[in-house]
Amino acid sequence: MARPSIWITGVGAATPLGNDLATFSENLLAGKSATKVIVDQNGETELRSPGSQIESIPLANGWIEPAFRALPKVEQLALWCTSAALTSAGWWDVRHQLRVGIVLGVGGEWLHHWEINADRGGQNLYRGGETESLASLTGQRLGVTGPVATVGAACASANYAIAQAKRWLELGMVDVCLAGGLEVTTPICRSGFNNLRAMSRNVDNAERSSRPFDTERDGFVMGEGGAIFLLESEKVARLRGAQPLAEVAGFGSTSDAFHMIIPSSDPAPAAGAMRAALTDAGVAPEQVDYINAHATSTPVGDKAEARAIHSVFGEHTPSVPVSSTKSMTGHLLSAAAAIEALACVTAIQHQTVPPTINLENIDPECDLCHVPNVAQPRAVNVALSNSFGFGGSNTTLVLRKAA
Amino acid sequence: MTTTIVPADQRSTTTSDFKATAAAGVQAFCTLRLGLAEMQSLRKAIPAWAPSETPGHFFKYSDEQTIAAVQAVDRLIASEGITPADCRAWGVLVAPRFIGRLAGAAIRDRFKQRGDQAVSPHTLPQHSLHSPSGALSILLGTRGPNAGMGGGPASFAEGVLAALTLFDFETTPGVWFVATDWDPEPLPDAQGNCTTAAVCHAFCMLLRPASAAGLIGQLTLQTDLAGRAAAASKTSTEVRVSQLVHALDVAAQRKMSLGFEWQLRWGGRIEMQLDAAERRQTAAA
Repeated sequence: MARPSIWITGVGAATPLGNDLATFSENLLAGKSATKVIVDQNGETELRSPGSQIESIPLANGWIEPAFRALPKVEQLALWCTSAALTSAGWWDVRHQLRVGIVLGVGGEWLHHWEINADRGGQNLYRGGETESLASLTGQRLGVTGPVATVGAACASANYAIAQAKRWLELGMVDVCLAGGLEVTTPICRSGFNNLRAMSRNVDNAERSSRPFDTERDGFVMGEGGAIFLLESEKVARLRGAQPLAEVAGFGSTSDAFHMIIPSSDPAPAAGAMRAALTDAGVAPEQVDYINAHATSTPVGDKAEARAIHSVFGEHTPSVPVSSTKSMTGHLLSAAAAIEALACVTAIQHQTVPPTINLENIDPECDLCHVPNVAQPRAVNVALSNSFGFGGSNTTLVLRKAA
Repeated sequence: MTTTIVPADQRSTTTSDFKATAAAGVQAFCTLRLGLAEMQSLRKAIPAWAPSETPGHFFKYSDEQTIAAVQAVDRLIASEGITPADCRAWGVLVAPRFIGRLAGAAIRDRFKQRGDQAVSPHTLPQHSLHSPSGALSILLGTRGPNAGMGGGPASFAEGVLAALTLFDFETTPGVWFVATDWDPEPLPDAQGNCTTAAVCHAFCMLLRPASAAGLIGQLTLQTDLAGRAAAASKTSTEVRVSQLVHALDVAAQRKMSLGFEWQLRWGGRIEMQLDAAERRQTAAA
């Protein structure tokens, strides 16, 4: 039986480059960096690291300022992104009449919850008694009924979330589904990654510290934010005259089976995810108009991904534009795949490929069709987004311009 | 939300509003209980079926629920005579519940006492939702997808739902599914030392297409297509692995089949039929 086509008809986002699709797209295509120096003061010690943060989360529908601001930041983020997605798709007022699914890509939900709860004087870490996940709590606060789930695949989490939402729609379990990823960083989180020596230490020139594929790259820049998409079937969207942002055309996933942290130097698993996604979408490599690379700006990871892209695209590699928007947004970890799907939506909506900024000296081992520093207008009908994560997760999402 | 685990002979009749939307077959399953004290000795126990290059310190920083998940898979492999190399394309799904509590307390204490340099770089990679599935996929050598599901109070139900709906058996021929859960929970003191007699429960299944041969159980998702069954209750779905492990142990002693039914808040229903008499091995602490 043919699967229904699934469209994205709404989005809610809070990102270091803006809190709505228009602002995000404008800044992304202008090649703006959101990276600043983050200072974590803990007693007499101080950690300074390049990073990108969300300054203020807009007030979610149905909330008043004091109550909203009293919530932990990640709960504000979830409420804003989900309610904005429902609103932008035109479903907000009738959400109670629908089966609304929610799938959140959130990798470190409970470590984060316990840290924030303890900082606010709570005892959940030491006494237990937690009653709701973020996804469940968000569903209740929105007043929607539908299945909820949390998926964790580290930096690939949000691609899995979107894939799960697509499947739920295909199976007829939900009328519409909210899916994406959320990430709020904390001092302990930044300290851990800094001690892993995976983060850039270029605090003297923070805006230029995230430089995927560049010979001078020295690690990733941690970012925070979120993006949640409203997915529904093409049939329903057409019936109500909704404007699609893109079609979720395909998804593929594999595992490295190599190391908990270090990506495999073998391009086969990552290439396998790309091939599976292309097959799922019914798209040939030469039909891809844009690749949003996972490329985090680490010496090992960027090279491995470049090899995987060569493996899949072969002779077409020199003609398929590739960029890493992490050069502007930073690496949003659990939300990375969502924010990069948003970058692909931008590329499709504006028919322009966003750039990799700070790309001045291309690493010869990352020989791809780069889009250095300046966005390139061109036809974008099919965009492919790679997101790889700790634990060896490789995922690829294919988005297509909805006719 | 109300959640019930109802024995097969007491299940409600399927109404016309419900439709089977996804199904999987259970090729094998096992249960496991491990006390926290036993975990330490297992940190050096690399499974015999793991790749030969697996370092002896592989579990040094692992979360306890990762160790329990691996031990459950180890028992299933031993009892079923499975060769992991034959399952390279399979997927791995693990649904841990409240992973990282002890590590979270310890790291918080170190950070407060000694600052950012004292935060272990292994905390997030090893104690997050993805960590058990990532570790298992490495040890099993599977190139199929791996992901963590749930993580919170309703982790088991979310995991089972994902096992039925996330992967497509046309591209992922089999799934290693493991759910883990503490009961009682390991509640830490301010330094991260456990203050309770914590026991980790694990339930492991090999899932195959519902039409595969040699199955000893079935898993089905029934969906209320009209949406009328959605309950208004605001309590959590909380199906506990420890409940299931206990029920399966009892069923195994009586050599009987066991049917479970989860009524989910949104109108879905998960039905699980397991032939406990066919279970090859049960391990209890």
